[in-house]
Amino acid sequence: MSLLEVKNLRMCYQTSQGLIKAVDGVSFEVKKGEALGLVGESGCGKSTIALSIMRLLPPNGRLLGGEILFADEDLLTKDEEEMRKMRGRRISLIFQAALNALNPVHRVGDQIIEAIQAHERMGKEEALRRVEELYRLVGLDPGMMGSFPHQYSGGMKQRAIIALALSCNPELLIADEPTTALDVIIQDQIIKEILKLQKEFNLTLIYISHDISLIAETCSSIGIMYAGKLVEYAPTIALFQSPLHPYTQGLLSSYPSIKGPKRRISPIPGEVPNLLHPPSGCRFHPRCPRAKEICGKEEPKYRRIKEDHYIACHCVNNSAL
Amino acid sequence: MNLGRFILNRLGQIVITLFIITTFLFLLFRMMPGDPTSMILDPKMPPEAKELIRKEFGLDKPLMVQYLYYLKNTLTGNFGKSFYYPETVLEIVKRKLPPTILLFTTAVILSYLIGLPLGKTIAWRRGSRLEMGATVFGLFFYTVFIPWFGLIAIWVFSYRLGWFPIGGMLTPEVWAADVGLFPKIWDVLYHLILPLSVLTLLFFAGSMLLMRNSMLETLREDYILTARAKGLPERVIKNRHAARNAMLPVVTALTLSLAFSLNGGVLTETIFSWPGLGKALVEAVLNHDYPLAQAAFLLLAILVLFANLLADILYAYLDPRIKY
Repeated sequence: MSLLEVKNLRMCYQTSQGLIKAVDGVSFEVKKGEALGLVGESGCGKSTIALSIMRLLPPNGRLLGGEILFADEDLLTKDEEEMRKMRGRRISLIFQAALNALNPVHRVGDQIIEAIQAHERMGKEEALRRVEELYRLVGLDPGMMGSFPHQYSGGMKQRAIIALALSCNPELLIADEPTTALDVIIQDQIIKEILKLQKEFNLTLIYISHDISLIAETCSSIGIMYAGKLVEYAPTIALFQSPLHPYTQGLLSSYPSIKGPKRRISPIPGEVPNLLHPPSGCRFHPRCPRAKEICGKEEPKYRRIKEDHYIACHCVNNSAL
Repeated sequence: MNLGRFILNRLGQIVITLFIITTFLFLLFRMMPGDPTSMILDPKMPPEAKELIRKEFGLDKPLMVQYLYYLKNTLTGNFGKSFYYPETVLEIVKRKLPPTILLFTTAVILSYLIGLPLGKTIAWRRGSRLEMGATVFGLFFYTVFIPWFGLIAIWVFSYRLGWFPIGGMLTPEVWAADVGLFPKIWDVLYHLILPLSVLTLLFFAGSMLLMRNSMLETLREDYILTARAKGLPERVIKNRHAARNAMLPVVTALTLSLAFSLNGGVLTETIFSWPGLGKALVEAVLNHDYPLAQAAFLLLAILVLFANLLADILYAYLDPRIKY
């Protein structure tokens, strides 16, 4: 059963130059207990999806259409108060730039207690014990609860954020580039921590990153995004073994691999398109090595091509498989 | 604790700064063109009488000796005798300071009490009609010229409507009569309302706009998004997370405003015939009344220095990242 189902989500940002179509017709679902990774370059709409699910878009964000079904309820039709009760309790978000995600003037422990008490009737004592438990869970010393964020290191802050996100036992955890600001060693620790907790609590996870190797470690399926669209979606292993979309293929060959034969890294030529005026047809066609005439004219349909493998590309057809 | 040492350190710095300022003030007034005696002396006076008066104020002594006298008077706290009034400087300040505090400091406190919540609210409701209205309203009073607005207020409310007195701080008859305390307080309040309202209107925009800007900045911070993602109620996000952090720069402005308020304002005092320190200060400079002018400026310097110290201490209390 899928816990989250995003159907044809369309989102844009209103700017003085026009509408930026940040998310344009994205559909995917996440099963209970599954970890889905969303990969794409900066500005491809990954974070906008996360913020849309939380309904925390900035004031210039506009919803154009689609549905976000969470446990069969459409989040986009909920009122603000219903949505507030969802946030932090049933859906948690760990977002980018987490180093400033804690308020510098309040004690870290208090900031977690505050989140618990926003959703549950709980005395201070009991909440304190819960936070202590959470601290141990994420590998923090409970003695640090009374300290302020500036007394934490980057990795400790991120652990505290994870504790905060888990404080009300959410069903869905969205991690949007949770390790971007951290060094590689801490990055690894944090990812292991998230994975461990995901298994332990049977959490449903959406992991957003520009780093496909990180996603490969964390997630059972991967969605590849390009310029506001989902271009390929497949189980992790299938995606790495036989990537079908030219963009996915380009993305994978632009990373060095430690194992396997030595080869040149081949970056994808060109730049991410401007979403104010996206290219016609397939948005990837100006950079695509296999572009045909139809690619510039007609938008490829996002369709199922194999069991659990979806793609939007004119160049891949069922007969080629 | 370290805070104690920090304060002690700063007090030491304040003493040194004050010494430099006192010296500077002494020289500044003596470098001004003109002579104090020309203001109090009749030109037809015989030169011997002039000399006598110069002698009485110590103006015949060399500059260095005058300076030492001045330092002695400043350190003992009586600031010498006014050249112009038949009082010591201390007596003048004692007489003028309470009305100044009553009008100006109250106005500053009131304007912050109004400006801070209003600034917080309009930043939170950015783009609303309330924000537009309050900002335009605030900017109008922020830029309006005090004497003009004061005179209009007096003309409308005192002269045409007759609700308030034309000026002054009290009715001498009431204070001369044996009527008990309450009518006297009422009398002062009656005189206070108009100038206080005018000043508060003129002041509140500053604090409102400052709070608004500071609040808008904090609202862009990541921890506000965290607070929303936690599912906190709007009110808690606004007050505990946004406004609490936005207060920091406003605190500095508040302490400085309070310090400056104790010096009054010459234009306001003139328009409303308010017996404050501001007018006395300007007159002292014009009259070459060195002791009074020096004392008044020194008072301002002391207040600003201590207001800064107070702001620093408050900062340490408000922002845990700051440690001394």
